[in-house]
Amino acid sequence: MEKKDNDSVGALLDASNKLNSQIVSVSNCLTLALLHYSFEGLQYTDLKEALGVSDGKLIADLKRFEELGYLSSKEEKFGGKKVTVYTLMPEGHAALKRIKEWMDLVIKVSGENNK
Amino acid sequence: MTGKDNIEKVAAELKFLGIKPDIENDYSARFLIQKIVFLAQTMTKATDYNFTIYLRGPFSKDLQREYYQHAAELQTLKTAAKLSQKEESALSEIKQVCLSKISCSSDIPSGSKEFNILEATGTAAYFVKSTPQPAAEALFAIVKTLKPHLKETEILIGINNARELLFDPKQVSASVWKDIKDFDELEN
Repeated sequence: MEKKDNDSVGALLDASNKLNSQIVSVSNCLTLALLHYSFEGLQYTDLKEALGVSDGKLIADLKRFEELGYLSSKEEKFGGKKVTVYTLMPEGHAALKRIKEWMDLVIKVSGENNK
Repeated sequence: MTGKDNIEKVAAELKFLGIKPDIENDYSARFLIQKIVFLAQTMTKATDYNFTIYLRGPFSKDLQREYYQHAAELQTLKTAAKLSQKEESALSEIKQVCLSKISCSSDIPSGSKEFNILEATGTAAYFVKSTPQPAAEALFAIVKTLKPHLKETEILIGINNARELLFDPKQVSASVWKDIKDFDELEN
């Protein structure tokens, strides 16, 4: 039992080191999750309304994600005009997977044992 | 309904409306499909997709997955599904109320205002269907909060459209019908 608990803690610490601290914020995790949910992509306004953040913050975060290769943007036709649609790239999916695995470990480590 | 039943029905709906979507390249086409399928499903239960009101909703992830998987069939509108009279009637109403100013061809652009009104209609219908007779002010407030990018006039038109599409004569009381009848007789 002790060895198993230590393994969980060790795994959590190891996973924490592998996370990119630049992206593990509520709004950034939410951005990755929402882009994963709608794999055809989301427009800027969709993300802004869902996240409730300022334009400055969202533009900076999306730019950082593009630089990291987590997402790509392309123009598509919509209602007679061109709109920018963001989609999650494989690196973005991998980053989201690391976050989900980390969260599973947090749940495991903070589980029933210490009640 | 199976996934195949659902997407076959979607193809039949698009065929009836004369919409040939370019799934891969046209955001407008995908947007139209989401809203049309939602409204038709709300009115007739022709399909049984789950929808969220968020992410430019009503939006269905399952519908999204299926129209990408069957993009080629949808573009040719190849389907074995048939529409009932009720379903055709609902689609005709949707076309008249919501789509008259939206080009049903992906090749011809239309103003974003009409798409915004369609989004407002779908959003209002989402709540009109789930809440019996919601107050107009409450409905406006909900739609405005969820969709701040929509103009107030677009929301008002959308709410009117939703009420018109989801109007159920059985909900109208006998006294109101009498008033309508009396008014009609007065006019004539």
